[in-house]
Amino acid sequence: MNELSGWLKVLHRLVVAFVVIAILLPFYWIFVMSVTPQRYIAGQAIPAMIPVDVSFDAFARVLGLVEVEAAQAERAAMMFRRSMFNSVVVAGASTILALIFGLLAAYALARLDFPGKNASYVMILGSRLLAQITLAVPMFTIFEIMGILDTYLPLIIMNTSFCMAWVTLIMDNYFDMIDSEMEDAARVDGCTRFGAFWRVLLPMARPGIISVMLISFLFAWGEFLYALLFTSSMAARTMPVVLSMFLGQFAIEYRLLAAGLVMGVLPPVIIALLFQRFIVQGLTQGGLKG
Amino acid sequence: MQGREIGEGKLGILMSTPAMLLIILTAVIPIGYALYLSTQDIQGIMNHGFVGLENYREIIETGRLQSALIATLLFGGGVVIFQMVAAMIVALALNVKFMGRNIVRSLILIPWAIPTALVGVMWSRFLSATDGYFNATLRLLGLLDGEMNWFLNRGTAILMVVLVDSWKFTSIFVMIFLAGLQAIPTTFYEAALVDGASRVQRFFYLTLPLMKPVILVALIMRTIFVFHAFDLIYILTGGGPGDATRVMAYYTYQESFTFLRHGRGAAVAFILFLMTGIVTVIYIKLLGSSE
Repeated sequence: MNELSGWLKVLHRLVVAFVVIAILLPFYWIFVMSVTPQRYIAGQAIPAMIPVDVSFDAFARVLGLVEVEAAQAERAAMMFRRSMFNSVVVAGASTILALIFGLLAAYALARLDFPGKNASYVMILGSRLLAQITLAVPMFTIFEIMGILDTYLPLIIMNTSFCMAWVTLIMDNYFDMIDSEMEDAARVDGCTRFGAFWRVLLPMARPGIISVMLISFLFAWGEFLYALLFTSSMAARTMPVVLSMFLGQFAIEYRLLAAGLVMGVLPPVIIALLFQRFIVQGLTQGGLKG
Repeated sequence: MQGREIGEGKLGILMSTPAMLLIILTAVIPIGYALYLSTQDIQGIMNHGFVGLENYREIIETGRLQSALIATLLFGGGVVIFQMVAAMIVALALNVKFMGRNIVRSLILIPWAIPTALVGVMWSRFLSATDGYFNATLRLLGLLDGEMNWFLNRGTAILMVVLVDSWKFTSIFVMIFLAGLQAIPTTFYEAALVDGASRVQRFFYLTLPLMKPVILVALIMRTIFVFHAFDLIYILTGGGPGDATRVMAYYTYQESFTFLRHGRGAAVAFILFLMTGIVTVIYIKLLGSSE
């Protein structure tokens, strides 16, 4: 129905070309930076636009595969490795917990009638809309009193809470779209309500679960503010915070920073490309109708 | 069979309890606690006790709250307007059949998926005055001569933060709009074509009115989340130059964690909460009435 012709077609192709270039060019620049020696980029009015003297040295150093001469660069590489590990722990734990808490709550909201149901729904919806910084100010003091600052716990707690709200709202919607016929049949056969949820509904809702799982992971992987405020050492600092600390540090070569960036963006990029359909569905359906 | 089973109400409470406990710990208690902190005079780790609304008075009298509100308005307005318009154009372009459309659609999701802080780190490097790729590209195109520090001038600093934010977040609008466009039945367009409506007429008299609910919800969601913007501001400008990009979220951070005035920080945080709350109530009202 939408065949374009003449100048409109030209305009359309220009828009598409611009979008593609705008998205890909920054990644290309990062790649060039990560494989090109410092002298071709630092201080150059026109830094290397194509890779020169290509070496994957920076990746080997960041990953700890080769020894680094400069002590500061070695320390930076070590900090980065540790921060990647911390990010995996925090994002992994938050995603799993958010899924468990969120799926249980979503089932209760979608299928069961219980006192305080509406209040629960409003609180969960409301919590998702609060600014992180609004919560960070009081939570900092609360975590300080609890004595768990600079551990994984505050990060996991806050990420779980935020992702759980997502999971609950999207899955509540998703469960609503699934007819309860199958569960009713299972219950007639002697299955408990919880059994019907666990063995009948959850398997049917697998696409939705994959979608909220990925969205939760992406959020926790990229979470910055809590990680910045609630950590103060390498014990729990996550990858985004460590990379932001590398910025403007003279001792850290652009190559090292760029290699870190490549590794930091790789998991989300792979997830986005492989599971595009799931994520878009979760975002547009559940996210929009709230 | 029913007799052995736990009641529906009980099971509902049981299953929602973990979620509710977490929400109470991480949302309800902190909001109450922020309200309490905002009435205390706190310097560093010393709490000098109750001061009533003194913190609120101070942030207003020093003009900092107003400047943060203006920065939020400029940044937020820029972000919302730019991203809505750009996303509509891109969504319309992607709604047309062309070779490679599916590939472009997958690419759209990538900027959204990568961490905002890393987007900030990347662009901070690209936008460097001397050896950044952004300026280098402008030089190659003959659009720039010499050095240009985008973050020294108020106007260009806001512009750059808006552009970098848009690089990441326009994609979410594109996806939402695209889903909305695809939900419009093609028969509507066929009817319009029969009536001899031009492409422009079809967009303004058919597409736009039908997309109104989608646009409205996206607009409100974006307005709420604009108040949250912190990562990019922290990494790219640190609120500067002067107070040009010191938006509400960044100002809250500054009072609490740079100046260690947790009382005042909590006051700003609480005002931010009220702002979010007002938009949220409007959002829920509108959603309720559209259904």
